[in-house]
Amino acid sequence: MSAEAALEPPPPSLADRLNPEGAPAQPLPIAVARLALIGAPNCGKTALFNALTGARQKVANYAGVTVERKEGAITAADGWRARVLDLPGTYSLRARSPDEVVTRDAVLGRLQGEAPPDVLVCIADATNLKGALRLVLELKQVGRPMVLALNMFDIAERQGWRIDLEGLSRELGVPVVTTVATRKRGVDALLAAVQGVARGPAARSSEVVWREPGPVELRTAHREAERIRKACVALPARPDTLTGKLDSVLLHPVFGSVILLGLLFLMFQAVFTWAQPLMDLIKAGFDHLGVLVGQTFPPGLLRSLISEGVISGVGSVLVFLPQILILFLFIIVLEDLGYMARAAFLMDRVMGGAGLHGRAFIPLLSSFACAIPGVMGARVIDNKRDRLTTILVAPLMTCSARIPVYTLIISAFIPNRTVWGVASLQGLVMFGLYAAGIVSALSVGFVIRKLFWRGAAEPFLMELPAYKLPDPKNVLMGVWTRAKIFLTRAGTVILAMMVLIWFLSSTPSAPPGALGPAINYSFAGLLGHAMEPLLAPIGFTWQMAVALVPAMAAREVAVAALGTVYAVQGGEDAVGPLAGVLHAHWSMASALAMLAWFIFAPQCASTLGVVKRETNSWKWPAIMFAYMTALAYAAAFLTFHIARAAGA
Amino acid sequence: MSAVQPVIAYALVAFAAAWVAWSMFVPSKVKARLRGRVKLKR
Repeated sequence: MSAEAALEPPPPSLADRLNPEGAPAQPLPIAVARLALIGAPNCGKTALFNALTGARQKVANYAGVTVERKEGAITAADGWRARVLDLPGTYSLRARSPDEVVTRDAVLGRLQGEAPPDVLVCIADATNLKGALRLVLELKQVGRPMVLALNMFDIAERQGWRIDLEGLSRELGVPVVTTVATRKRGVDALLAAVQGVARGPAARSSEVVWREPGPVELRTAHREAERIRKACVALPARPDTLTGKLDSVLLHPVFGSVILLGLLFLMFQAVFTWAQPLMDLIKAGFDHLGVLVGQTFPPGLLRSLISEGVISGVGSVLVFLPQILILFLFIIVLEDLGYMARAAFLMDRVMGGAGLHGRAFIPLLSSFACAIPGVMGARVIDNKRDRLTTILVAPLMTCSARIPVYTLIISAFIPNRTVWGVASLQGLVMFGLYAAGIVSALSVGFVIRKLFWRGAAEPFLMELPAYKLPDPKNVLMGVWTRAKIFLTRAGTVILAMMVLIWFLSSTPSAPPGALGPAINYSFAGLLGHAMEPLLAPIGFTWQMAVALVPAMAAREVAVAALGTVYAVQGGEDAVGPLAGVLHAHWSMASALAMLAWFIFAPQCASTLGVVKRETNSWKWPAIMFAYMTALAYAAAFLTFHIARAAGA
Repeated sequence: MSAVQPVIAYALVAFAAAWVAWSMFVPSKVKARLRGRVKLKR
């Protein structure tokens, strides 16, 4: 928001705009109402937000996916328009963690430059009304028009819950509608109810009243919520026994852990074995494109830029798209099933032993995609030191940008053979690299919490969602979103970086009578040779040094940069797939050192920027950069020398 | 075509350099302000 906008007074509420003189409410379809979606974590707020606005915000079957306010717009058939706020989940307005503070402030109109919402849409999981009714009673105190949406009503019906909707509406004094957000059912009824209350008498009051309740008021509210629940909700005729039966196995301390490890193992095996045909297809496509460029353009700088810069660079990253998508297919299906919350439960003892808060699991899980949502996801943790520890270790989890680097080096140096009859050796190494990321995050967390910030571990409470069959549309949308992110990066930051790397690798040209490849005399060659003494102890060549510099923009740029540098360098060894080129130029010890480097190295400027934003200080990104670089150098040094001593 | 190739190639390099500088080194607050001003002038 610009400084000018921040100085403007908050916009008037819908009630003021509709009835500036306090006149009886009349429908004015051109007014823009502001709706806020509020509810407990994992009740389907974001799914309803997507259903209402057509947005594609991430939804998953566990608590804590949304940590900041999102805004969208809707226009009803009669021209009625509204802005919809999707807010982080909360059980109460008594906010404790930063994400709950966002919800409380948005509801109470305390956010700078924002009026309170015109209508509160309280969303409740229809199969779990106990806590939701307490929130409804608390929200009623705010004094804004409200509608209660009982979401996931199809599951409630299937389980045989009997809910007296009219009685519930009468007891609470608010309209009650039923919805199935993932299938867009009940959206029209919800909008009709929202329009009804927006034009009703409650809308005329623009005053927002709320104060934090004391213990006596809390007990009274709890009793009132129980009374209403007993009066209006009958226990299901067919209770959900499947969740209990599955949990007895999946949450078992031994069987549960074995199943979790087995699932992760299967995931990385699939990443290597299923992706290969598609990767070969993409590779063949780029080879064909290279031939086409060679036939179309006469020899010259532009042809060199396109074939050596763009096709060799960007193409070498794009071939990893199938692996990334298969990995996310697994993660999204497990999220939708409701399994990830169980994984958090199983990991809680390990994480607690390492000094990490139980709620850190979800941010760390998000970091498998990218450290940025992981760092932001740490907002669900209320204790400042726990939150900072999670932020500091989140980039150690293996993000998807590392996949091209890992896969390239593994396919170049690890033989593609089967071990123990079933497992691919390359998949096992990938599994090991992911495990190394997790172990290093836990170890650093342990050091921070046990040596620097000692304190008692706080108890971790998390509602386990019911198991659900994954929604194919949501799964496909999630995979498509990841594909779009990857392709956008390839088409923007990686493409731009490769054009620059090509320029730096081919300018200036070699002087007359020069010996060796022309790239040795280029800016990139000079930079690489200047960095070589610093990186030689960890086994890195000057070409590897050149790749590390642009990889600060994004880790996968290292792969593209290697593709471009070796393509510009040319020579007999630079012909063929990049993996083969690396095999000809690097020793096994150097390759293993590079893998060790990428487990720890803070090769992502965006992550450092987000850490600055989340901590409001440059101190923490500086500490993160320093400790991760030190660990990366130490790990690469040890790996290189141990591997060399072992004859690699 | 051979004479035009360096011109196009270096123009693309200049564009890529400007884009990388804009996206990586210009703070988001400055970008938002500049975008806001452009909008106001319209």
